[in-house]
Amino acid sequence: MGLTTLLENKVALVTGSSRGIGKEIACLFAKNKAKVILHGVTEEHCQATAQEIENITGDRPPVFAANLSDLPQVEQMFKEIFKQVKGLDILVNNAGVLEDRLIGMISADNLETIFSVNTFGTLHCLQLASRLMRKSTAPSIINLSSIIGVQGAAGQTAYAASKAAVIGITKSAAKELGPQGIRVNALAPGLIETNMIEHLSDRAIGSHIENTPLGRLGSPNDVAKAALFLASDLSSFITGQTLQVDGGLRV
Amino acid sequence: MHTLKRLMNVFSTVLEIDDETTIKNLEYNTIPKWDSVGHMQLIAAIETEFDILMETEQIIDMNCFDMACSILGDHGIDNITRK
Repeated sequence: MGLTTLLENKVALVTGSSRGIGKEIACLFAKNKAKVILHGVTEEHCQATAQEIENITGDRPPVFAANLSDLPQVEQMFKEIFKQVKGLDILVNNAGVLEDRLIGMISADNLETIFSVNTFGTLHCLQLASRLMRKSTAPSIINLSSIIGVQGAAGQTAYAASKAAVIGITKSAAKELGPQGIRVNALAPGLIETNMIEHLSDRAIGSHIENTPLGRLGSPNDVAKAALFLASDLSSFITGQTLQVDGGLRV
Repeated sequence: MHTLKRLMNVFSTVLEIDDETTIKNLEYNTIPKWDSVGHMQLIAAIETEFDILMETEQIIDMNCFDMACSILGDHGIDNITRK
């Protein structure tokens, strides 16, 4: 995809943009002329993405580090964003963690880890970002859920719960923030080729592909293009929706 | 304009109350206009007027005009002492 202008003059924060889907979304947004703000657990984690965006736009994007499960750290990050850029047009709540655990082996620590990033972190960022979107003419929030949050998966009960909660957050926030003109949607990717699926066996991946009508795994770019749609005015009358990016896996 | 007056104007506009004494003695959730929706409108108006971003705890704690003064003071807004 070449350089286009779907997000011209839009300021977009992409959490978890150091790699995988987040990195792809950040780069595609930059190609579409958004002013992208990167986020990672540390600033060092995002340097590769920052360099790639600098190669695209000629400008190095700002990078912020924060543990999204820690509200004071998230608030500090948004204060810094407020100081530096004043307002936001787009938030992509992408940062997440995945941990497989069978029922009976899910500890309180596992739950805490998964929910604190996937669910609480999403909500923390959404709360703060919505307050930086007051002056935006077309604000949009995109939450990364998962096909697992929609239909569940054996061995991923905690992860599924955390991602199903993201859909609940999305629907409620869409209703509450709609009167302010803020659209809130979710993406539910299927199996995407990132390092988050490295632990899966070839057999499991093969079986997944067999069940996918489009007959392949998804790529981070597939998800990024859906995020671009939801971030841009192309989806101007769409809010509260969960868009599945799964090759038809769940039809 | 004096900071206190600016804050009073924000409360007056959002809560649609003209009387300053009434505003100074008002508490959260004691009138229909200052319910949770009105509260977030008040927060938005204060943040816009003073170009600040409040912390979540401050939003929750801001239950009266005096507390709003105190929060503005925490953000380094000058001349906020209540007269």
